[in-house]
Amino acid sequence: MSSANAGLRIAPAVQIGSPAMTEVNAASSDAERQLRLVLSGMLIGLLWKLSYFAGADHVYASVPLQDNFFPVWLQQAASLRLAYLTAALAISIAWFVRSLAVRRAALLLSGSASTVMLLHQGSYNDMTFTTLWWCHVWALWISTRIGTDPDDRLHRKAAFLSRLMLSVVLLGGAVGKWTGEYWSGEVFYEIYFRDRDFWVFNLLRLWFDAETLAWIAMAYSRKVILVETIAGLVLWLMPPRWAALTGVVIFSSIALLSNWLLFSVLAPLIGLSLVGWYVRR
Amino acid sequence: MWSAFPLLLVCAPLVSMSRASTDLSISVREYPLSHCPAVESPTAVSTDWFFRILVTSLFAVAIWLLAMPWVPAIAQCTMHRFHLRTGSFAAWAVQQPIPPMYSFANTTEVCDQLPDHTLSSRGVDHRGMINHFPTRVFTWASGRATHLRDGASKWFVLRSAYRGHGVDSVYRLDRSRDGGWTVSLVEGDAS
Repeated sequence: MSSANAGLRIAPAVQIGSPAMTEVNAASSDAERQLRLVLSGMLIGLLWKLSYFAGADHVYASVPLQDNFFPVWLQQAASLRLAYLTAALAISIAWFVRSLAVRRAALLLSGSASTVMLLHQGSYNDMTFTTLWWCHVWALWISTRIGTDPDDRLHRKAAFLSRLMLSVVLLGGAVGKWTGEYWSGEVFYEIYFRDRDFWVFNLLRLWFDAETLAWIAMAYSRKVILVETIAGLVLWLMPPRWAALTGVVIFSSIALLSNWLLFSVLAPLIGLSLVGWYVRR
Repeated sequence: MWSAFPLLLVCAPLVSMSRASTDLSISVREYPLSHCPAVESPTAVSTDWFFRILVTSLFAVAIWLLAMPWVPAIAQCTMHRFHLRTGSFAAWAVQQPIPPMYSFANTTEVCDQLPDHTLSSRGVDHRGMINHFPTRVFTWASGRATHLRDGASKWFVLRSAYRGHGVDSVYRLDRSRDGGWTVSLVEGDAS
């Protein structure tokens, strides 16, 4: 016992689960930094299309749809507005607070708000809220383990879980494209190459004729399918830092090369990707 | 080769969870006390059931996704999800976390006349392809603002196609007395 304690740096009167232990460990751990990174990505994603969401709120209030498919409260503009504001505020609180209990409560609240946005008539289709939801699940999980698990194990588990989630997200996008209409480039041609106002497609329409453009769309589409498929299948198996780099490159390039607004969907995933950077060996 | 993937995915959560458990048990037994201040008991780390449930759920979602190209029922289920035609809202809600970005060949047509029995559109105001959830052509803010501003009834013909299977839906939107709009599923077809 005395030899085991030799060199032990003991905080005075510190025991497992005591506030002193949890606060001291939480302040400096890699897991804490990982969590803040993901929360930052989530907040950026949520606020990226703030002006659009503000306009959408006005439309939902002035052009309400009555649809028997959704529960009444999930059709109301007010419930979506409340969920959005709650999520933004609660994520911010979770980012700043040191108290683990307050942070967990804030993440529980923002996670509930995120679930509302995932199911609401006015927001179910926006993948911003799908990726935000998965990041919430990850954040909630790690918040329950900070102060409980040894940090060097926790941040590895956190990195593994993040890679697994990212793989599933990429796989979800890939599998739906395993169809002739994407393999031929038809879908991307119609959505982007024909008339989408974005610098990449504007330049391509300027430089190439319609026939060449269709061929480029096919190549672009096949590239997307291959990248998403391969990354979806192997990202979770990669070494953490390589996976972090790969995730950041893939998700950043999607937005940079097709649609700035996609950063609302991808910023949370970029934050989740960077979690692996903290695993040094 | 392809048939090995489901087997890999079923075994993977078992391997990863046992590995995570092993890592934790090793850390408890062999983790130097000098690196872990004030650890009084080697059993301080509790079992991480949340982690295990998450890993299992993620592998279940992955298996669902990978089965979709070869199991028509899964593809149909997802296309019905895209058309808001799942049997119940609860069943639809459970599927919502499954990532579906840019899935299927989805087309939308906005008409000011009732489509005929072949779902061929007449009086088409707008036609296009869409990345996912074709119903967003009338539920999403930009769709409402664009297609419903004149106050006239509209028909929305939606098609999703995937590897020889498809789902067709026709929705009608009518202005109601209170200023809102009523959404009705006029016709639905699956092949």
